[in-house]
Amino acid sequence: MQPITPEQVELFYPLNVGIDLNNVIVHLSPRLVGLVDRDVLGLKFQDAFRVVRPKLRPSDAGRELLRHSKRLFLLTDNQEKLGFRGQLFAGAMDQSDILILALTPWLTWFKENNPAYVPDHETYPIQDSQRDLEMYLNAQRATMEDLRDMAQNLRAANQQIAQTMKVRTKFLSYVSHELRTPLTGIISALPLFQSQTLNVEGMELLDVMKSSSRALLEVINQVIDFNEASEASDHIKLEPFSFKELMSEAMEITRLGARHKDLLLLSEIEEPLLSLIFDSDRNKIKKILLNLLSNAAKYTAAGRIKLRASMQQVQSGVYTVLIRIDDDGAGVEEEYVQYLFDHYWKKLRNIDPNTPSSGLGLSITRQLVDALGGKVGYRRSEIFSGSEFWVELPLAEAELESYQGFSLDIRDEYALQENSLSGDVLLVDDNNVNLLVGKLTLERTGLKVVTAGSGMEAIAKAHGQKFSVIFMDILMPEMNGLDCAQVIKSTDNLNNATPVVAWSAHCSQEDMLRYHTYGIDDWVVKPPKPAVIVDIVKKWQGVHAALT
Amino acid sequence: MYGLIHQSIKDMVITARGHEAWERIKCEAHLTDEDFLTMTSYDDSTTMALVVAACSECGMATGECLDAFGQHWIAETASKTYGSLLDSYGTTLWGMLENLDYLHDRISTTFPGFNAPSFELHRDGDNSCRLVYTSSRQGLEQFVVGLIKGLAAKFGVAVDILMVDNVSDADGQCTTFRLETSVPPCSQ
Repeated sequence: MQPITPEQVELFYPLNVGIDLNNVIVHLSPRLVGLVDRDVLGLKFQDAFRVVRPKLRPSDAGRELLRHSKRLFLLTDNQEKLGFRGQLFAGAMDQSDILILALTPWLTWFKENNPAYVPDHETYPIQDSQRDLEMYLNAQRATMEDLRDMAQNLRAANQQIAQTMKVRTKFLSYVSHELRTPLTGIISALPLFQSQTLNVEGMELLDVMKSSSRALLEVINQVIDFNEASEASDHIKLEPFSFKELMSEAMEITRLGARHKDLLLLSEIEEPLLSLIFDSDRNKIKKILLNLLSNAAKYTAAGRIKLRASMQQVQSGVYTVLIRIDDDGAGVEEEYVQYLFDHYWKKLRNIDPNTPSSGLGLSITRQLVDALGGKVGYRRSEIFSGSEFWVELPLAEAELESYQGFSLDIRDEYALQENSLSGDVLLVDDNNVNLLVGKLTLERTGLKVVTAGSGMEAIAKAHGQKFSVIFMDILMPEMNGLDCAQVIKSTDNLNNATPVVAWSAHCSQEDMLRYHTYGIDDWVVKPPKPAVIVDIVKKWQGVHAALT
Repeated sequence: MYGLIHQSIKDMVITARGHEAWERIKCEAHLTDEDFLTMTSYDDSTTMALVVAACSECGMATGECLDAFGQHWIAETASKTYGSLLDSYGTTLWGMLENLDYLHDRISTTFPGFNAPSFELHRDGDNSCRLVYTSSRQGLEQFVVGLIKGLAAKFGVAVDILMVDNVSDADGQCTTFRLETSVPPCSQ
């Protein structure tokens, strides 16, 4: 036995119990007397305390308890109001051997079973780490609360930003469409001047007006594209297409747009891509190609532009297609490369101020590529003197037995289509300028045009004359185009079987789905391109002829 | 100092002056939400910038502001943050002041970077004592006055506080307060 007394132990363990070799409690430290009933003195140890750990056997009494001297004792008083933890060792008191149980408050037991009771700090041994842990846990809890608050604030801020963005996008979309409507009038009216007698200077000015108004339209269209691209991932439309034909189409459109420049357009496509039919959003990929090609044409004064496509099989039926567009332009200075795909990036670029650009083209491209799960990037061209833009797209092969390729239809859609049509049509528009310009444009194609300035007037005219097509503005006061179309289609009149074509600046896929429910059969987007008008009228006259 | 102090100043200002005043103070002190993580240690200059901006916004002298903050700390922050832990360090004013060093020992163990002050209580008579405050920081004696007032209020005791000595040098500050109560300290 070690010559150590409970009084000495008390310096380190303010709470301790002395048990004699007969298993009787013979000593309680003064601090413990303040906690447990003094009457426990003289009781058998196991009668005075309930020992949770270690599990004691009846024979574990007196000296036998020492076999647990290396165990952690967990115990409560008999009323289960107090919990203690500690260790047992041998000592001496009044020259007799005793067992000393050195205790400390069992903090977690108090938290669970008697939270109202807070042991005085002096009942804890100084070196006891329970209180430090308690403080540490308090700190962790506070940190968690801080992080939760911050996350909540961030969520609220994000929601506010998303809401603001939505309002901004809606506003931008609305303004863009509203700008496009009057521009319709200008662009549609300008070709009509060509038949007027103009001197050379007048012709030149007309050309300036035509190119400027088309450039403005391009910018407005890009803003609309930008708004749509920002939600592109929500609207993926899968359809089978030939990559080779898509490339050809994009090249021809670019060639047409750049026909006044001294550019050589080249393309190269890897053998397997020539025959594969993919299933993806053809329109988005076409827009990506057109954006990058027109960008190359825009920033290359003279020289070569090359579109290359190659592919790698990832797994059966799934490929990564790599598209590269190289040009002979000035390239992008190293310090600006990081901003290339940001919105409005053109401000940082040294370009000809006469080159029309919204600065949104590459940003739209990135959004479209992202929506398709691809990657886009820039590097200095290795084959030419300027830039190389590359796109990697994951494409799946279409599961088709056979595929009818589409025919290319590359043309100047603004070119006049003189007298290529015949028949009577009704044009409905509440805007006098649009009505006049639309009438003249339609008449140039050879159609006989009856106009109506309101929905009510259109219904009246539908009762008096049979038309081959009705062109219907959508946004009109009093009676809008949708209600007007519904009335014409659902009532007894001469035109309830006549195709109604929406004549509007607001024609997205979603709009058309909605328009169909009102009986609208097709649509043309303002400004109406003569070539599109010819297509639409021919299509519906053909349908009508087939049905009758 | 820990973000807990910043949080507490924020609570005090918002309670007294509202959210707009608080946003102005935060802006004036160039602080962001990241400067208010409860258990993160910040440079003292950040805390002092916050105190100065709060004083300016509230039109109070620095001492007056620190005094108010000391009282707020005890009444609102310490009780809520430390809860029963704080209660275990004393059930009387004198007992609590005597045990402040023990409390700070514990906090220093848990947060090794914590630069804790020291408080020594010397009982001089039946109803008076001297409290010796030692800190490596300077200029916070009015905060200590506020803390004592806060503790006195917590235990429902009226106390007169007199600063009898205040020495400061490059190593910090040592301030002695004489505290007197109307009833003997043994019953406090």
